[in-house]
Amino acid sequence: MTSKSNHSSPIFGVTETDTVMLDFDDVTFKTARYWARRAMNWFKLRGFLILKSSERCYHVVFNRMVDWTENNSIMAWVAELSHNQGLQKWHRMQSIKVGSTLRFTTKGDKSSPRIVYREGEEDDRIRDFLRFRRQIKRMLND
Amino acid sequence: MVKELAVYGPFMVYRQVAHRQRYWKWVYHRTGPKAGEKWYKRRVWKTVTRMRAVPGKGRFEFHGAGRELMRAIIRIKKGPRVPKGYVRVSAREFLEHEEEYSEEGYWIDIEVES
Repeated sequence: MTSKSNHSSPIFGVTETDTVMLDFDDVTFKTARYWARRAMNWFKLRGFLILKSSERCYHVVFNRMVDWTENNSIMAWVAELSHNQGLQKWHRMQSIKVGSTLRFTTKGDKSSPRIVYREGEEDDRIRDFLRFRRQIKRMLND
Repeated sequence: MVKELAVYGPFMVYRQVAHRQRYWKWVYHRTGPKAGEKWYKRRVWKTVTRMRAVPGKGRFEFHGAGRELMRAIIRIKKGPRVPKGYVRVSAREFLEHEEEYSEEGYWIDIEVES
């Protein structure tokens, strides 16, 4: 095993406790959309946004504002039913640090996540998430 | 509006690292290794410390208003500053007491090939 290192900038991500966010690893787009849609309907989350972070990796952000207890419950529900190992591990890490974090800048050779699908309303948490993401990205590009 | 921003990733920090160094030491013994030789040189190990860049562990979790977060990002990028462990602090507090929450180091981009 070899490792190559060079100076770079840190990874920036947004941390939220009142927004339901999910990080699917090693799944197809249709699987991520299926679980996002199912969670949205079951918990009445009113809308979601899917971002492609890298090949077969997707981030999902939901629209309705929730408290941390409900957020944790929703993340655990999806992680348990989907049997996605990456999502289960991610959920454990977020529970430890009490806050869900999703990256929005590049990481190694992975590009920054880009929006690939929208469904439902975007008037609450999705709007704030996109606004904040746009602000930080604009600042980092300057 | 209060927002929370995470700044993380692999980074290196400067630390005093113990290092074993081998050197020659003059030793006296009544009967040395050779006949008539009382003083002789022997190779011994000595633990010394040296400043080295080692992989660090930690992350910043900033919360605060947008303008303060922007200033904190600029400060980190200009530094470059790295976190002292898991730092969850308001951006304003970080800007006022930067040395308390961060130290000198540099962020790296590790690519692992197997």
